[in-house]
Amino acid sequence: MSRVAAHLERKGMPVVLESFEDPGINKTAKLNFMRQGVPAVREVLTPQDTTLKSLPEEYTPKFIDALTRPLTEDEMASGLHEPPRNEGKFMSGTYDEIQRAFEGELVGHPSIGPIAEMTDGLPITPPTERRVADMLKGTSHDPDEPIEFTGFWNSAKYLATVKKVAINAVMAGCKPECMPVALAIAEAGGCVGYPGDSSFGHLFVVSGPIAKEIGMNSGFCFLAPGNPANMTLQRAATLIGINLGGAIFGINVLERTGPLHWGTIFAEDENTPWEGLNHHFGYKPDESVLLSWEGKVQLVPFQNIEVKSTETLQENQVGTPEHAVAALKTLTNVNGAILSLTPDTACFWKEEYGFNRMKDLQEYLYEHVTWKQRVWARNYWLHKLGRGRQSGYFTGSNNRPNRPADYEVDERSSTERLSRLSEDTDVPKFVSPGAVTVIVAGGTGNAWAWGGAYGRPLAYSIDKWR
Amino acid sequence: MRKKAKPYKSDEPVYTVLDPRSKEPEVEFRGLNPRLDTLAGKRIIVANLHGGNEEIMESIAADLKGVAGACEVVYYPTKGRWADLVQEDWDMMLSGDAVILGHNY
Repeated sequence: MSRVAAHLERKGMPVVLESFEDPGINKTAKLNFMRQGVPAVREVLTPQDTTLKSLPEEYTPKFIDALTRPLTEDEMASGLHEPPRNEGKFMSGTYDEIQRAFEGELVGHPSIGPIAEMTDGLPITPPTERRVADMLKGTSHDPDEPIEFTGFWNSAKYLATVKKVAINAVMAGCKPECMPVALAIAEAGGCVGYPGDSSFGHLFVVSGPIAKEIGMNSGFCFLAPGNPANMTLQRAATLIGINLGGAIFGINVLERTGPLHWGTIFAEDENTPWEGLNHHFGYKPDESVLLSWEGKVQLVPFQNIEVKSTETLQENQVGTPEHAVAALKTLTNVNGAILSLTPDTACFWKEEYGFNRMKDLQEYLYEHVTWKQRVWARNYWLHKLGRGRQSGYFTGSNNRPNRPADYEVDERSSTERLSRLSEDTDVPKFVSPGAVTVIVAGGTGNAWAWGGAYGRPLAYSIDKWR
Repeated sequence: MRKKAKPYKSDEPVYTVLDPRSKEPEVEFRGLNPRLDTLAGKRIIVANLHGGNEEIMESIAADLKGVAGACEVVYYPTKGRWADLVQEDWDMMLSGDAVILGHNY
């Protein structure tokens, strides 16, 4: 919105912006107006009530006023805005003084409690020059090598370096050997949250040898606390999002409930019966890769939800691909999905159902997870907001234009084809077989989890950051 | 909002820590374009950038027309979304004397 308003103003057009009356949204908007070089854009703030069909009558004079009231001196001002440089030493002090300084003033959105400025709210490891120098030994890259971040919502640009990533990795408690993963997380944009609410503030999966080298958990309780590599990298992703990616909870991260996990990361299990996700995404089988989802993600253990009745104990414990189909059919989001299988379940499904390649399972799910054509045709997300298209903010192509596409719209899911079919036809719910990402992780025994994925996963080389 | 930290005791270790934050680039900014001296005879584009809540965006245009009848008010739902507008959208918005941008999602 701010980008469009600024562009029109630069073209000589007087603009008035209609926006929700919300302190977080409004504060973010003001920051974005400056970033776009037109800080004084006029707004009319309207009630945040999506049930309204028209605005109360007092709003029309507000629009007229914003269109016609002569400009103030502040609104006519021009100049150079110089943001803080945030370089070098931050402070000297005791452990407690440093914690307080990093927490900052603890102000925030009026509807939530105080929010820390430079931490996730927990105490951090003080990022001294020595600790940061040790962290930088985990990569061969120049500490001054630039890394640029783009805010997800706020169309901002943030300039950082390899050293800045190291500072945040120290604060998170990472060991130096985790540094290549932290840098890949930074390249992916860090954990800046998704619009709307989800299980994960961001989901990352590591595939390849580095997972074992740094001791990541891909087995029992891979989502649970306890593993130093998983937990510190998860925290590094969060701190990178806050300090380098511009995430401010309650201001530009506006999840109404918030996720269960923030910045979740775990490793793919090496005992997968299929090709690894690194290979699946076009990298070498021995190359370490970070998958980063460009939109919100859900992941629900299947035994927590009754998606289909079972007839045998084996079915109850293992589940079947048919159960996965039933689960995925309940999704209302059609951009993508995740299916996470334990190694034993993956092996069983491969042998029992003939999914010799990961692609075979993806194809099966694509064909069987269907809905009626008439439901597809009136789907709000597809047709009103266009989120089924494989372009735009929710699919990564805007923010990461150079990433290879992991999937495109399958011809069988094309609007041209589906619009010709009768209303009662079962049509694929997903845009492509590749839209369902299959992950093998978890302890011995059988279990699987499933969920929707609002955006697509993109793969980043970790080895390039060694 | 919070109490000032107590000064540290001399026997506690003192750390010098580095700034963990990124920086934003400098921005040259400009002022707004002059507002309209009157709405009479002017063409106001009410552009819906988001594609949701058509009713309320249409009502803004209708209400404006109702109060300021001497101006032309055009409700325009953009073909692209706010992040990826198409040329036709820009041409339409620039065809007016002023633009109200809305989303009300």
